[in-house]
Amino acid sequence: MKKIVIVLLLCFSMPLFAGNVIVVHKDNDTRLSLSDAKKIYLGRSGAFDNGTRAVPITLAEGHAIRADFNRTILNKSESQYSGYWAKMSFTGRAIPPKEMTNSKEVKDFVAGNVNAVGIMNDEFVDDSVRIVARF
Amino acid sequence: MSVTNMKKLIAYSVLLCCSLLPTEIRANDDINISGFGSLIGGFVLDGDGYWARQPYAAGQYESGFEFKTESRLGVQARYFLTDRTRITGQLMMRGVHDFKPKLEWLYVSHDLTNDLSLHVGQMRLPVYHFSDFMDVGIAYPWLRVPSDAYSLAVTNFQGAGLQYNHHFDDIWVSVKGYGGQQDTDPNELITTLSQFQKSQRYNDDGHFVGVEGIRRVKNYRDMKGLALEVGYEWLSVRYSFLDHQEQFLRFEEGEYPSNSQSSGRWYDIHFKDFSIKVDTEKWFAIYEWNEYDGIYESWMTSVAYRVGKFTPYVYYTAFEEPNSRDIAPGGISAGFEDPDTGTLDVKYNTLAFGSRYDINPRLALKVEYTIFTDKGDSAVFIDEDQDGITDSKGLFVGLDFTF
Repeated sequence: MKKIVIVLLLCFSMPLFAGNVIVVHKDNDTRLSLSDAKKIYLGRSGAFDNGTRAVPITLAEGHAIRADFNRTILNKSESQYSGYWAKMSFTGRAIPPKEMTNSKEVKDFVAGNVNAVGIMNDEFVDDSVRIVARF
Repeated sequence: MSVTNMKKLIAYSVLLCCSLLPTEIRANDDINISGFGSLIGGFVLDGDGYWARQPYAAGQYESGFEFKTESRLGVQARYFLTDRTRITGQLMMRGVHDFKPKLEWLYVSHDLTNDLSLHVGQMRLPVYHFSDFMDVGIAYPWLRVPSDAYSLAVTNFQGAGLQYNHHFDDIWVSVKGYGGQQDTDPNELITTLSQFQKSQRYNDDGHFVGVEGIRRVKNYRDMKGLALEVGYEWLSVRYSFLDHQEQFLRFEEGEYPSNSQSSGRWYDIHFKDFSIKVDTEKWFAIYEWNEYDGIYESWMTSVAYRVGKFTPYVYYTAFEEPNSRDIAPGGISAGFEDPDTGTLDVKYNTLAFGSRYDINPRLALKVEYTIFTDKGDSAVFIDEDQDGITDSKGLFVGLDFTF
């Protein structure tokens, strides 16, 4: 019985949905689907559904959350992603997402910029940003 | 100071200033420096030589291991004037130009809305599917863009363009409308084509010793073009056209600049290009076709398959120009005229097998075996037996990177 109580306590002390999230500024009321996020992160759309200009923020190359996002949401390997953005950037078609070192930096940037959208670990989420999707 | 020199000075200044700035300033949001490059080398396995007919006449392979002709480095500086306005300069250092820096792009962009941006300055003509990023080898599977289908003799223009990106649910649309002009003196691609078609020189032993100093000039004005691309998931379709006025001046050896063999008349020219592309996580396939004002037609098709870090590929590309305007009888090709029409045709194709290997996301190694078949009446490149047939085979390696 004692063991069961300890296990239950441990369960409730952990976030129920620990994982990777997409966040926007707390004042941004956009409804962002994963499909919308894909368009913004590939430079095919420059705005949220509420008309606010979108500035995408990603993590540095080699970061596990970025690799997961690129693979599952953008359907691109790291090589395909860097080739894609070389094409877009060197031809003036779009500006690549800004890169941050870690989730804390992403959260700080998004908290200070109403246009920003970022990918991060929800462990660092606070009330300065709003989670719009999980992946 | 000429406009060209002024532009060079601006670009050098931007780049020099950026390189001298302390790291903490360079790393801020206002200035962004990035670049790309390709080191490409190869040798001819069979035939007198191979020429991939790249812009600026790059891609010439004669003997030994040649690594300079197609190698290139591009450095791009982007300065954000405001959130919505930026200035971008791109310098290219090409082996074919002895790696001397040359300003390829210099333009100001302004976002008029979230989907619509205005670009003004010198930019790449977006006529072909890959034309505005054909220098960026890391962005495609091949060692080089299949060049038989990319023969337009002009690559850049000075003018303005409107870029519109939008999506309707899962369908995305990219539209670029543009207008401008460009002078090319000499036109390096056409001058070199003509030199090998009609003015190769040989010594008494029959060995190739060079080409005559002929010159071809092409000037373009009233350019009006549109590139429309529509995509859904892994499928995209693209159509582009370019209407312009074109002046073609032909100078034989010793006659430049005062004695052109052509009248200098301006002609209305219409160019159109169509492509369809499949690009999934594993598969890449493309078909592209284009036509230059009923004068020539070219196309290419390719399939590539990504397996781990390897992307093996195959492509076939072909060019056909019946009744070429620039092959005058009396050159080395005299006697090869079509027996029925008395004209000379330019016709060739390339079949290539190769593979890309991703060393890391920003560095890729490529190898290609290229089979060039000349089916036309005149020489395309060095033709030591002077029979108008310049078939060749070559093996090439390339290293593409971006930073």
